[in-house]
Amino acid sequence: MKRSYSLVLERDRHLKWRAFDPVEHVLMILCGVTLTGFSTTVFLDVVTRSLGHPWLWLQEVTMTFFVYGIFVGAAAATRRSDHLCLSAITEAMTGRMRLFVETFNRLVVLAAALCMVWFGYLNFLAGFGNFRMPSMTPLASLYAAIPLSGALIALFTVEQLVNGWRNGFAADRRVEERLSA
Amino acid sequence: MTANGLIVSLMAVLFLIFGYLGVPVAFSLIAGVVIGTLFTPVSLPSIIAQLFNGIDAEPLMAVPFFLLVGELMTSANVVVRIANLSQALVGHVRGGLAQVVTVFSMFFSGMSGSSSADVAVLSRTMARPMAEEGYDAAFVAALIAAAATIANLVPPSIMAVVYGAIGNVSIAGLFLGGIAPGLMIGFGLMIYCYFFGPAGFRRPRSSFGNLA
Repeated sequence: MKRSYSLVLERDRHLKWRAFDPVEHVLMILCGVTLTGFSTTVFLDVVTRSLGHPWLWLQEVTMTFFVYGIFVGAAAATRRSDHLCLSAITEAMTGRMRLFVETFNRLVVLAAALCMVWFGYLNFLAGFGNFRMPSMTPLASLYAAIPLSGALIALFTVEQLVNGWRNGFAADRRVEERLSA
Repeated sequence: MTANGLIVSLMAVLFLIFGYLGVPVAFSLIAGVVIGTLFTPVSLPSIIAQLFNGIDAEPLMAVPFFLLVGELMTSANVVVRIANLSQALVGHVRGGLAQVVTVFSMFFSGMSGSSSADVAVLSRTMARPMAEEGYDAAFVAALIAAAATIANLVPPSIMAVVYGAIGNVSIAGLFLGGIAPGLMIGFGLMIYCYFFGPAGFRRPRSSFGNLA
């Protein structure tokens, strides 16, 4: 029996494997958690400062939520094709040219994601020598977000590449119209 | 041109090529910069570390907060109320819906802070009624695009927040400095629509009770 995930976007379904739907669902939940997290900690930061007893560690927690929120969001946006891009030229193309340009675009994204994975991993290792104040937590805890995000972006890009070659990159107009209605 | 200038130009050209081909803007930037960096002594891990250093700034947290407020306002049906208010204020002036679009954008800019959000909302709410009233599609597109630029100037402009955080410039000062130019663009567009735009369908003047 197919399980449906309410937070998974049905747009561009032909470029997605259902097996990765739980991953998108979890990423969307994490985005909500990080957004709630840093909204709450900023609020508490303002309140405690106003009361004259600031909790200094709150800024660290806020930045942790913020940084992870951005990188988790970047990964989720890749699967949902929500990244800001100029798609008008590509969408006007058809046939082999469209296939070539769409493939090239995704290879560029894949290369950037792999750079994030490898060089982000090197930064993560170097981050054990630097510490965040005042908790003295290794900076690696924040740097870890870059290779994790890069790995997810690479995974979703490969998913789009394989499905694009099999089903074509152009969206099914009937599905798009049904969704927009 | 110096070697550094050439490398910066290469990065910019690659960013534009990737961007126009349809690579997402974030990845066009990363790809362009990484390729350009290969011709410099700067190490690639330090470039990727800049991804982190670039967002490790508290003022940038204002951006998701503005987006969150925009979402909350949209779900509270504020967009329709602003459209109704704009129509009640200027719907009777020559230009009709063209004037309404400009005033709507001036109000909405003060909430969204993003010109893309402005374009998205204006296109969804106003483009169809304008087309039905016989406005030229090119005029509608140009007006919406021009009116949406107000969002980059007036508070809470996301552009001002990002520029202030990166350039170490006072964000409050940028907000304050953006108000007058933003209003000038808005009133300038209204004047243009009045004298040079299509006459449009003029609605009856609203009473004070309707405005309230």
